[in-house]
Amino acid sequence: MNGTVFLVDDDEAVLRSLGDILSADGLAVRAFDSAEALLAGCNAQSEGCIVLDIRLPGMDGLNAQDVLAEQGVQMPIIFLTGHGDVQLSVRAMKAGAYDFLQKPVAADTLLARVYAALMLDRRRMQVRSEEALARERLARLTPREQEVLNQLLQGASSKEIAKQLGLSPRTVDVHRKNILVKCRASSVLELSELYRRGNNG
Amino acid sequence: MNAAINQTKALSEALNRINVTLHSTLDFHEVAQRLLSEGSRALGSETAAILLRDDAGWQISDVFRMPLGMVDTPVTDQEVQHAVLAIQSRQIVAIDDALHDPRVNREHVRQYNIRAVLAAPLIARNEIIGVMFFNYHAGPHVFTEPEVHFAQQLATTAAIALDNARLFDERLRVEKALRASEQRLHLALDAADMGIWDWDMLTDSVLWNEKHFSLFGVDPASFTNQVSEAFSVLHPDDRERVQASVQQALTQQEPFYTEFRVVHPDESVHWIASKGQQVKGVPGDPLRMIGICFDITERKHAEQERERYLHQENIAQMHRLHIAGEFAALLAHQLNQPLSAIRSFAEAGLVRLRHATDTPERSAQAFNDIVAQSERAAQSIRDLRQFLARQPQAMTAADLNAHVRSASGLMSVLARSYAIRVSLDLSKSLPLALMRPSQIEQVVINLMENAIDAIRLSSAMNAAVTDTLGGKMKGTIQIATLLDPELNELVVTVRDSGPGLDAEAAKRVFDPLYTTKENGIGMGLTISRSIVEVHGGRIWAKAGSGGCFKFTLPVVTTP
Repeated sequence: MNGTVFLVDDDEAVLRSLGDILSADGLAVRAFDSAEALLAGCNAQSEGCIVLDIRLPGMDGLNAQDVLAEQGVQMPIIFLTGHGDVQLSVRAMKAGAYDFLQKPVAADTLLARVYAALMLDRRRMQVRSEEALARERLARLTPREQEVLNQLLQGASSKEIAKQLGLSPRTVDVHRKNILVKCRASSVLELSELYRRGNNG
Repeated sequence: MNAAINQTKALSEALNRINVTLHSTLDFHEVAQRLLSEGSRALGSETAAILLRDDAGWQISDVFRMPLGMVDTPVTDQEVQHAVLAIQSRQIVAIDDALHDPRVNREHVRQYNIRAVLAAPLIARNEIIGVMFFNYHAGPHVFTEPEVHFAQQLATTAAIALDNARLFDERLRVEKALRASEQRLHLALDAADMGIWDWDMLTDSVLWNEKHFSLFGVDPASFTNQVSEAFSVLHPDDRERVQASVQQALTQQEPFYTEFRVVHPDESVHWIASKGQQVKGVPGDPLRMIGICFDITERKHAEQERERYLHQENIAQMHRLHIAGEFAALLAHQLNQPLSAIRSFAEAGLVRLRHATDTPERSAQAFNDIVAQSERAAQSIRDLRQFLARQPQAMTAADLNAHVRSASGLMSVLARSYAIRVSLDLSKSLPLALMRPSQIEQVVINLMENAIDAIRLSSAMNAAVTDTLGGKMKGTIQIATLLDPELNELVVTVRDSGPGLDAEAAKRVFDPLYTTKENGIGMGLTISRSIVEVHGGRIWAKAGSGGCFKFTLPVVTTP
């Protein structure tokens, strides 16, 4: 499984023991004893998930969640909570947390949630790379080809496009062929999918 | 006929003589003796006696020429049936020949060898006192008209004289008893340190005994006896209340009891209890009120002391319960961490076994970790139990500086090991404060621990500061004591060179579970707060750069 588990807990024993479970199952783990250390140790490009103790000295888990969002870190966050932290958990979920686990955590539960979070993050990364690819391909088109693409996506025929842009239908066909080649698409349907991805987000 | 006239004259003279002599005394037996002897002489009887009659029967009261041993002997109605007859008829019963007269008891006259007898009833104020006997032993005696008449008059005089003497005796006895009773009362009141007051409500003047003056701190020589002056000695806060309870006692017609303070000329305050009751002249019209009062200062102080103690114990108990609740939360948190770690270390081992990646070294490490964590949990429980089991020490007036010194001495050793310098700035000659010394030391230790942790946390980020002594020190802790004369309390300040707290943290830092530390969970400060509040003080943190904690203790005030 790709991605790193960013594990944060101020209690040394809890931090090390949870890290042991994750790494024993073959996961890459990076352990931090404070929210500040986590913020210094990850960025928007980091892949994986975050397992974050909700009670931390200094910056606590909820504040860290806000700062991570501001810094564009989109990895899913699983909160670790103690007894009587129900309200904190609710706030965390409302702020977009992926899940929360109550200590003591069963290894199977921890692993299941972590894998699910990593999956989610991988899909997120996949979508992100597909979008980047689409943008890159669309960027190769000349201004004239982009005009032709816009008409094509609106369902216009070659004749209609030629008339609209003041070109010969033959020229339009050449542009159409070049667009399909540059975008590595086999049909206008595929082109429209690519366009949607390239203009998303 | 001449003889009869002479006898009448002689008897009348005798009666006058007896009347005169009776005036010279009021003693009952003396009166009785004169009556019997003079009567006997006038009547020519050999012996005479007076028997008194009461509900119990007859009793020989006085005798003339008869054995004195007879006095106080009880006699039955049967024995003296002629006396009973005299009383019932209210007439003289004259027995000329006792041996042959059916009106007398044969046995009786034989026993005393009575040959003739004259029984005169003694009746005064329509009340039967008894009977006077004049006995003849030589032979029968024919009673003449003048003799019977004389006896009649003598009996009347005798009854009045004896009645007077009896009343006088009674009065003497009552007076003597009263005097003795009064004397006993005074002795008892004196022994009990009781004041007596007698309030004449018509003139509004009051009489006091000696003790009352000393209780009220009033000079007897200058006292005007006015009730208003008596009230002026009362503590101003108590005057209205006492007046109201007197008023209520008067309107409700009931005894009154009240407690109040009096202020002596030397401004000392004494608690007095006063009990009184009205003495009625005309029914329903209160004329006098009489009562006693006594000093209850010691009892009052004991009561107040006890109330203060109970109040303090209540607060302490409430705090103990409050702390117990907080501890339950703390314990849950403190145990959850190691339990959580134990489970995870064990499960990590299971995961490795599942993947066949476990090694003996790795397993040993996991088991060691588990042992260490269970020891950590046990230690938490031990610490908590030790804290809860601590016996509450007695409150004593103690020197705050001495205990700050002893607590800081302990912690300075720890501070030095982290290159932290501890300095004391203790105000000289502080007044004593009421405290449980070991608890106050605990507060100072907690605050210092807190300061050391704050400095250690920040020292990693900050460059070492140079100590005034020239050595490289990571930080300083300063402890100061001073007296706030306005609030009359002692203030202890613990400052540190750590990062300090922002306004939010300063507010929350005493909450249970709140912490800015890595290891602690804010227990020390929560405990400190409870201790200080039980002592009637306050504890707070000041926001700003550099840690600053303060707590106060009220100064001992002499009651």
